[in-house]
Amino acid sequence: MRRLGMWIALALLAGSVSPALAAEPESMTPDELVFIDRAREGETVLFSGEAIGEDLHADADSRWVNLLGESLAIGVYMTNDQAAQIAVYGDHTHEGDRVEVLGVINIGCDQHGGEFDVHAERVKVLVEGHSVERPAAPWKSIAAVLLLIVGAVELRLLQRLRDRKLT
Amino acid sequence: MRFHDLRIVAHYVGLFVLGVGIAMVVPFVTALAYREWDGALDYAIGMAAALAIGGALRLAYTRDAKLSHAHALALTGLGWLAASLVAAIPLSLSGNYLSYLDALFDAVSGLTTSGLTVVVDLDHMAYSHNMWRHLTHLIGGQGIVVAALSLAVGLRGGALSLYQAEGRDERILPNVMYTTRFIWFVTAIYVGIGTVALFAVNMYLGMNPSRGILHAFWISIAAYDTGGFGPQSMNAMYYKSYIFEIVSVFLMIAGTLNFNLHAQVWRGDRSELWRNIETRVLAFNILVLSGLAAVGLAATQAFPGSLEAVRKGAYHILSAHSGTGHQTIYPNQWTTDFGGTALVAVMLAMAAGGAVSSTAGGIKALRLGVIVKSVIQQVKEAIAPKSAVMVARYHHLGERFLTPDVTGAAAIVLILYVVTYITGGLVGAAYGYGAGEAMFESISAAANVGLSTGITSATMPTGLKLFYMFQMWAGRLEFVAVLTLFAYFILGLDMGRGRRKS
Repeated sequence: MRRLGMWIALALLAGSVSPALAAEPESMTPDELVFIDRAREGETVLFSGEAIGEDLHADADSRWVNLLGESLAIGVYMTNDQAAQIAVYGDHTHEGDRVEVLGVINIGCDQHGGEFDVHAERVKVLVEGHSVERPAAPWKSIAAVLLLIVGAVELRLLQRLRDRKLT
Repeated sequence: MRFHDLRIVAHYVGLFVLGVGIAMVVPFVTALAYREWDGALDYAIGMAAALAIGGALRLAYTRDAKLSHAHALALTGLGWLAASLVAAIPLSLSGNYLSYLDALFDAVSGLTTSGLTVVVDLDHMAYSHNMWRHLTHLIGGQGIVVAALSLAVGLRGGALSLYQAEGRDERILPNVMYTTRFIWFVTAIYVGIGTVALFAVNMYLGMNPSRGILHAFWISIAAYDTGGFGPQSMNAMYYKSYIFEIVSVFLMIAGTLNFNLHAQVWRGDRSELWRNIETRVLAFNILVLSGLAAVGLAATQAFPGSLEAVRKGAYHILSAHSGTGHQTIYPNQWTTDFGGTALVAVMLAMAAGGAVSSTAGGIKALRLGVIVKSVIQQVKEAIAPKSAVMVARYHHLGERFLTPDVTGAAAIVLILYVVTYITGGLVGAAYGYGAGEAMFESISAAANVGLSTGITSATMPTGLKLFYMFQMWAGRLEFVAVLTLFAYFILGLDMGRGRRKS
């Protein structure tokens, strides 16, 4: 029994120092990340956001993906393979993939001209994106027609008043 | 102001409103091209509203009326307001603004080429609305009055007064109409070059051609017209490209130079570039302030190396000086990472501004140069014997004498700007913001720059939104047209005779 307990204790000790089993940092939003304590430069952070726009060329092996939070977005430097996981990017007619990134935060990245960025170690798509319908509101058609009629009447009236003054 | 004069002014304000409506054809067509049916209806409403409002204003006076100088000043001030009110209509229907007031804020910011924004969810905005936002920079950057003059549409008399009331002191060509057309010609050249260059950059970055050309066109307008809007919430940070920065800096510098200087260079007189007092002042300021910013950034150690500090410092000094307002840092980084020295350098650059008769805002390089020369002249005269006759000259499109009138006029505008900057800072502080941030934001608004510490947002107090709108409007028109309106409406001065009505 004592020997079993000793082996369990040793296993737990090994697990606590093993990177594979180490606790992940607390998940943040891009907005929180932008205000992160500057002393945490170079630390590993975990955050998620909506992929927006498109992935952009960084170098031969890497892409930039911008992830949006509540109102702020952060650029993530990731490999081509990591970027390939992201299928949908947010724009007017799409809600982009919700992507989780574990990576190193750089408040002034020395590799990228002092940019505020995250270098991804792990990228995971949490929720797939989808298209968004933006139907035209019927009342807008009515409003446009009514205003057009008012404007046309006014200009016609202006023309007639001018013609009357000339004659 | 007599009712008769008000009717004449309203008649011509109607013309500007109709012009804004016509300009909305571009975002309307964009909406149709991208099948943004709701966006198309927003611009159908915008155009129809411009027709209805413009038509009503035109009915205020049905005879032909020649514009007096007084009418021109009032027309310019009111015309900009009316244009903003109408330009805000389709934006307010977009779903990207929390209220009509917020849409009006962006319309004022766009037309005055300030670039401060209270938009929400910009990354999901329709292309048609992004097109309109950036077009307001194009219309306002060259000037609403300039746009009307270049088309010579319906304006009877008062052309020179209108041109000058919009903050332009110089004519490029003998005829004001030709001058305004030349301004559009230069703009078309630079926006065209910028669009082609940035399109190439965007293709290299991997954008699809459709987004690539739109982003290139919008950023070219925003950079050359020194406006500062961007199609994504990250602004210039979105592209992560130093080539993008280089192209946009080229456009910013082109936009901050006097249109007269462009004309001189176009005519083959390249020596004007280095002889002109404005370019010398600009070059000196940019060099010194960039150095100061780099030193400040190096001290904060927020950026890893000296090269990065120089790049960040120089880019933001150029953005501030030109009044563009593109930034490659987050708003909070102004206070957390830029530090005191660099922040002050950027504020000085914003306050100083670009050249007269350009798309830039601020006090202007010519006025600063004239005032500095005057100070030097005063010192020389104090030292020289009483019998000495001293004449001071400066070179600005030719040799000119430095007279008390010239110095006085420059000093008055400088005082008006400084008072506006300080007042805006006090108002921001009164709303509870830090003094440094409040001062930064006030200068940014009044000098039509657009850099932001984060104060400007959809959630900022309504009173502050209104005050910043006033600052952007007054700064763009360099105060004269605004003060004229105050004189006519509040003090009751008569437009015809300039005396208070009894």
